[in-house]
Amino acid sequence: MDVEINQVNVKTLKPNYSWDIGNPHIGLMEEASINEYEIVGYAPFVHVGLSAVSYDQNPYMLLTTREIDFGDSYNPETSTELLPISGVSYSTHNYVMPGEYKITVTQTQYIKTNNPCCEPPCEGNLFVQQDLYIEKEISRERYPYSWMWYCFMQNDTDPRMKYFGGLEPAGECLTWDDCTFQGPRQLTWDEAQGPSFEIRSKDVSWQWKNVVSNPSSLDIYAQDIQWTFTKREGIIPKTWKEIKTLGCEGGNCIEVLPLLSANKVVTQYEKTIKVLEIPPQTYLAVVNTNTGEYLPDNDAFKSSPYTVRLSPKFTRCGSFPIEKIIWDLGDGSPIIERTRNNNSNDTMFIYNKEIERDIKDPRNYDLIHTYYRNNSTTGCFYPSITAIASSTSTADTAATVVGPIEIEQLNPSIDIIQNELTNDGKVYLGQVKDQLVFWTSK
Amino acid sequence: MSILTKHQTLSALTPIQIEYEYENAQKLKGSYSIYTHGIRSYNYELFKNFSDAAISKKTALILTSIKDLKQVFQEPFENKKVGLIAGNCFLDAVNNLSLIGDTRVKLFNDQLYIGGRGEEVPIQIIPIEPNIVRLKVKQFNLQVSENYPFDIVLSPTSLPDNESYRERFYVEFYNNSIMFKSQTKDGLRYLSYDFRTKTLKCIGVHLNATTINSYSFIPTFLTQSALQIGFDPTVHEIKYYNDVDNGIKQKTVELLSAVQMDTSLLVSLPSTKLASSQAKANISLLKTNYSNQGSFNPTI
Repeated sequence: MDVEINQVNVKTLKPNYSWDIGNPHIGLMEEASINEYEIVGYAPFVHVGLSAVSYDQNPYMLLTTREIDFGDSYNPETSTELLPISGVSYSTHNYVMPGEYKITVTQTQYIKTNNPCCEPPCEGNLFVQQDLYIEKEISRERYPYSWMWYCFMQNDTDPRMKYFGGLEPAGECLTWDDCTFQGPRQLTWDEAQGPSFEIRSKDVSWQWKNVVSNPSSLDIYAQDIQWTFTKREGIIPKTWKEIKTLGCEGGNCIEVLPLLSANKVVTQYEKTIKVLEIPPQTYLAVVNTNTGEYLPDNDAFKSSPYTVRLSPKFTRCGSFPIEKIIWDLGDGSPIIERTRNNNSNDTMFIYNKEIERDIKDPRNYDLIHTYYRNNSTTGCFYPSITAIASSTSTADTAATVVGPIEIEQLNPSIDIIQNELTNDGKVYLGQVKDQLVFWTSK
Repeated sequence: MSILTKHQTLSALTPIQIEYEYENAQKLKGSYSIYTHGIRSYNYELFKNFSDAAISKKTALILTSIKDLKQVFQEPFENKKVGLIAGNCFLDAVNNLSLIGDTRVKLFNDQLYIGGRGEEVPIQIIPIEPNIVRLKVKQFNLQVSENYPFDIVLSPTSLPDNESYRERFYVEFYNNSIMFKSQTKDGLRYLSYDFRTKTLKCIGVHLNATTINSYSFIPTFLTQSALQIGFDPTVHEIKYYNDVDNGIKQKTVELLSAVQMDTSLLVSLPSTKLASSQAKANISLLKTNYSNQGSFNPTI
């Protein structure tokens, strides 16, 4: 048996995409670039379509499954697909997060065997292909799923559970508790190694029908048995096990499921799917609080204290929305964080309505700050912001300049209220505007 | 009699810096200003809109207007949350259809799962740097696998220095949600879980309101999730119980009510130290049986 991945189509967002354009969709996409080793696309949306087919199936094959694994743990719901198919299949998946991914196709075929051979060469029989080699138990992780169901219904003394030739894939008694999540023989839907057979046990089905029906001339096995008769307090109380064997010769109401062997072929797509992230682009604007203009103001003279409004509204998302903006005001003030979901410092920000459809976006909030020039500072300040994308924390930083700020022009006068001569010099008590001030002179 | 007159410019005046006497760590909120002609001053919020001031041979006294002490001091207290302080908590993943209510992070067969039959174990959060932590479960360190999909493995030993980034996590804690992210080969990735195997991996993805792989956890702390460090400079007018009938609360100091009531402040400084710039202020609350408005507060 061979498996071939015969067609892979990859569409991607364009490298100039921004989350601000809107949710990614097919209309915004183009063919991805392909080279010898990889196919390159851009987060958060790389659409991969893949077709596969298998050849040279075993003629004794009962069932076959194909698992397509796109290798994407970030977006797992469509990352793996299990199909009961050998012909051409077409599967799709969307990659969201940046990274490198490999696509794997695993084709498993289940062959009925009644006379397994443990070591080649093997003799063929009516049911088994000649030279079919059955892997030994120790190299097989799990047995076909159909056997599992079979095993649940049996006890360990049933001779039909024993395999010929010493191999006992079905030789253990399993309960539902054994196979639950984190149980000793954990079995999840995802881990199922084989198909589930829909094989009806005709004797059992007849039994159920008989129990629920009234006698009918159409029922060749009709007996006058009803559910109420079989209850504990009924006239012929029966347990489930007894009902199964009711009327069955040798207690055999179960149709023996075919014992299976499975062989598997794994094929990996030779190219890597490489998903790149488009980083955000940050911009910090200074707004004139008087005119509201988002341009460097042309005031020839800015005096201390100087109040400005700083705005991140022109920052552009990359692949992912902006999760957080970190403000550094550049004058020794504490660093301020504005995040999408945590805003304990709301009073410092003003809503600028830039992105009305997403009110929590940190770019919606401008910051008002007052700069003071004093003896130890130059006339210019360099505030900056860092915009951080969600899920990947990719960041970009932008800075701007506030100033030059001149020393405050003194308003009217200062008042000397009182002075006192001390041993260390003269002390003056004065007032500047509404502020009490102490001075000394030697 | 001759009189010596000495002229000085205002720029010759040296401003005096004031400190609070009883707690050096508590800085008074203020700024240093320079005006034209070289006039300088230290401006304190404490002295803004003051009511009166006088300086005598030994003491300078200033009567302030009604002041909120939180505005007088620079950051009187600081909230340090987990990430800055250590913590111990149980973690619950955000519930969704795949978890069906079984959301607790549990230890089973030396691996962490969401739900299942394992043992509920608290996660120890150990700060290394501000908001960068190591995580431990019992004696095991949580480490991120080197390669995608960045499984979380438990190891009793620490990694060597060149790989120590794999057992460091950035922590974000707010709105009763805690998130961890780690530096991987592909960049920073958030701690989440595989919805099929229920094991922890760094594969968290959120797109605004759309959660692809949730990376928020809900902590149930066994320790304090935050500490307030500093002092709380609020002034309360309080009322005790006057439980005459049964006298139960007469024996306790339980408060009936406490209302924040800012008052005027009386600031005193030793005049003799002012000129040497070693002046330390003492701040007294002006509080009597009456409110700062001058009469008994009828609402208390």
